Amino acid sequence: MSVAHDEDSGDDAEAFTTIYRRYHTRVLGYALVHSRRDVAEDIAHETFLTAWRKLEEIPSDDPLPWLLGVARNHRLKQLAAGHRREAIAERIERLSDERDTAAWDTGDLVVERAAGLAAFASLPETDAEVLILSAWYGLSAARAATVLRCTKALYYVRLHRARRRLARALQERTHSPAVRLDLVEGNRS
Amino acid sequence: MTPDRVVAALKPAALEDRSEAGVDAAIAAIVATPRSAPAARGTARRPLWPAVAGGVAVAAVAVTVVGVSTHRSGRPEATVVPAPPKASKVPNVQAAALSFTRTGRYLTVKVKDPVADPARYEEEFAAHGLNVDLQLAPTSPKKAGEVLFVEDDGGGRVKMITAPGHCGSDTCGVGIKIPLTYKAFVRVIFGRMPGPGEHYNTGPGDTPGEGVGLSNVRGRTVADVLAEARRKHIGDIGYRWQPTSAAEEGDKQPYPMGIPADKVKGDWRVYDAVAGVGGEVLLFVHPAG
Repeated sequence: MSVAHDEDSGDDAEAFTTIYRRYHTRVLGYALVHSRRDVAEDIAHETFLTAWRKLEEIPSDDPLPWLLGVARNHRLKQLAAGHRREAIAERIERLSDERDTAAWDTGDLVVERAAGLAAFASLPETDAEVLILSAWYGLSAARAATVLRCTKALYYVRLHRARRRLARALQERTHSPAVRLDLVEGNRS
Repeated sequence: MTPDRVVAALKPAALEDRSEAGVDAAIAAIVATPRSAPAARGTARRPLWPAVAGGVAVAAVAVTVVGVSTHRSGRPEATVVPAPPKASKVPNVQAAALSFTRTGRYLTVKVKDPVADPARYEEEFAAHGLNVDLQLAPTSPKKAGEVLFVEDDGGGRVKMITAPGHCGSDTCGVGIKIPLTYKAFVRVIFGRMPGPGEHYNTGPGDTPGEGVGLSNVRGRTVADVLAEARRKHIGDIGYRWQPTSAAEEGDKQPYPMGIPADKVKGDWRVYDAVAGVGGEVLLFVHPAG
């Protein structure tokens, strides 16, 4: 049983190493937000094994959506295999530390962090997933649609729906007019 | 303040923490694993997801075409053939993937196309004001039509319509019954018959190896299983360590990243064979003795 290497395998290994070093943290981070640490590490490992096997398929100018799409695929396989999952808001709470509370306090966010998290926790998981792709990874609609394997149009619908639900949930918890529902429409990336 | 700012601020700083420890070893272990042959790629293989280019609507491209209508046998031995699923021309105009029937204060939603892209189900649910993520995943024939996974944020008033063992034809009969006013998020995954040669996840009650077209692999030698794989033209194989004691669980095992093929010996024992992503077959192995 020998490993078949072609002439370009050295270049391939170099290209893969670059991708791994640049994106592993973000891929693991994506997995951690959805799954327990041991499961998340499995997901990240499997994602990069897939990346190595399918190196030619990775868009060299923009690997992140490809990688997150594969990570999501591995995550859904875990779900289909019956692994219990935690809600994204539970995962955020578990992953947060004093750095996050400090950053919130200096962030001029009007709402308390607990209220923000509670509002976020009231959302369906699909909403939470879409909001994270947009707000944490700064993915454009086309790139986020690649990750979610849906059309750009459907992604807009989902993002808009999620933003509205979150804005409403924030208003309910804070009675704050500072949450601008009218701004929900804007800011399309 | 926009909702996006709140979401951005909720991102835990810990997610940006880099761990440099073990990175070189991790990369080396991955690079030592075999690549799939370039010849195996191309149009015959279903992409993991459609390429998104400009404003092109991609839902139609994502439809899995695995010829389920020609596939009626309930026996896995008869249904699994070595070739990977062939993609055929996808028509531009698509029939509805779901059927909606109103009975009293409930909406009965049945799956008409068990191999439709989940995004199409979601679009059709959304058109009825429902927030449902329904998927059909290939499964062992005896679990076809059963619920594999369910998540319901709304108190569980959604009823599942199952059709155990009867999910092999185009109209597979599974679906959900949902109150008309239900707004909560529901995610459900039903099992469906695998297409010819299509891999599926296995679990308790399934025969180890059946999900990747192999006969029972448990206890056989690696050499024996590889011989069967060769006969069945399964060439894309990866190896994972099968822990046989608590001391080998998780990161304590010798190869947490997968075992390079040249480290695996022919007399090692096989415990399971499962579907990886993109057609790969993963053998869970352990040295004999």
